[in-house]
Amino acid sequence: MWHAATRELVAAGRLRVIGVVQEQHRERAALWLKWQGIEWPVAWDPFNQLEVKLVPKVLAVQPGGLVLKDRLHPNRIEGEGGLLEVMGRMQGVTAELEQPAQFGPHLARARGAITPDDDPGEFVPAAMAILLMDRQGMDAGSCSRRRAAVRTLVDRALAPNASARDHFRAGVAQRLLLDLEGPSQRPGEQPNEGRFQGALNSWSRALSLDPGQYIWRRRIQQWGPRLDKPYPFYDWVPLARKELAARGLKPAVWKVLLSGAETAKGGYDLPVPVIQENPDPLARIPLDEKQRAILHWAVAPHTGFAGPNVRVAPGTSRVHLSLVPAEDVRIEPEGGPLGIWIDLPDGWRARSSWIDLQSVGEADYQNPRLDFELVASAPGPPGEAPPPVPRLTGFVLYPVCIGENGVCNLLRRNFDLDLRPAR
Amino acid sequence: MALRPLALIVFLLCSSLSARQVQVTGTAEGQVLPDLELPLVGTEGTLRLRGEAGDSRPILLVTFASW
Repeated sequence: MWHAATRELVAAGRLRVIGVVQEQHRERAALWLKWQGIEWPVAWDPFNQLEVKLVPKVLAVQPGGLVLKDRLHPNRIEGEGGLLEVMGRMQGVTAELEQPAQFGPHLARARGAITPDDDPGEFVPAAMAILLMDRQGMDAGSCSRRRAAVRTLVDRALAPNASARDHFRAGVAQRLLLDLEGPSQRPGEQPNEGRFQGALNSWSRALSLDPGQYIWRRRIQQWGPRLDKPYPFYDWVPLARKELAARGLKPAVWKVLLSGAETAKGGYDLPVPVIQENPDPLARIPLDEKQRAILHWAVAPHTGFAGPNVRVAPGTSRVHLSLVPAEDVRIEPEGGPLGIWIDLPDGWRARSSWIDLQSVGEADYQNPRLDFELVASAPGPPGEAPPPVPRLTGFVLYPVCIGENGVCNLLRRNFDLDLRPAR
Repeated sequence: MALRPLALIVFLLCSSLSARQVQVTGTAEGQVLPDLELPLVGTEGTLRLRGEAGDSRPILLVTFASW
């Protein structure tokens, strides 16, 4: 409502309306703004440098930066405390403040050309600036600078005096790196050291230290279990795309596709398992000993581990799996079953023990991804630690072909996941 | 003796500076908005939250998420 009320004031040069989005993905916010027809400038703040604890929050700020009112009601225009009254108080008043401009120089430097020795070093603001201004290049210089920036933020979070905020920012950096460069494929890498799990672990540590920080809680819930969702996060996307197309506007193609967790609705209903047979009970399908494809995984916990501010008990998890074939390998769905078998721990539920990957979009066959929910049948009360389910074992089957006209084989890879949330 | 007026001036200057440092940055009433410059969504460029020097317009700042 005030959006319309402020339009004239903005046009008359009497007011500046700006937005700041607290989201991991800039392109998703861009789609929403385009769909909603929001024209005022909106900035992207994935690291939550504004340090707000929840959204939406509307501030009236005097010229110079002094916050005059921090809880403007979006629908209150007239009367005491309304937008017009607060506006009247702000007119002609300029606060005399220091203008330290702490962050700007880092951003200006990050905007510049990459130099061989360009490294953020120990400077967290410089590291964040590099990641914010990342041109998403995949050349050696861009990757090196980006990774150095991520390392700076992760190292900061490993310091003995690391704050909750340091952990959150380390998580944001790791997820940004995953979205730009894919899962880490260092040889010998152990489970739960991957970029996505690293991000989830960092956010979990941050939330444990400050359970009242809802921006951080939502960042885990975005990929977390359905039973921990206050609402579906991105279910509006198909409608937005459809309506924009009807208006003749073509939305940009996203680099990072939505996961099932991000469009899932919240709810209390437990999955009813569909009984299916193990496709390889005697383990006769050959193991992928030559690493034709690498399986990456991450487990997003229920945020109930961090405190009692939840509507259902903790104990559920959302497991994210992604299969990345080697460079000369193609996954051919015609070559056999493509799916995942999970050995459900006693008393735990999932919709099915066999999860078929055939249904993923064609464009995704070269990087099949899937996420599914595991539910504890008897979770403890809110605020208590999840029931001890140390590991989830199973295997993934995938048909691979080597080279353009090479032989195709069905291969098996076993997995053993640690489901415990990071502390 | 000649040092006393100088010491007084130094004291007054320092107390003036420390009084200015009391301003807390944040988004609560009475605090000063952090001087952040952030990338814009949907277009190139950046946005300085406090506005550019010389801009005397009051600011309505909305922080939100699309989810």
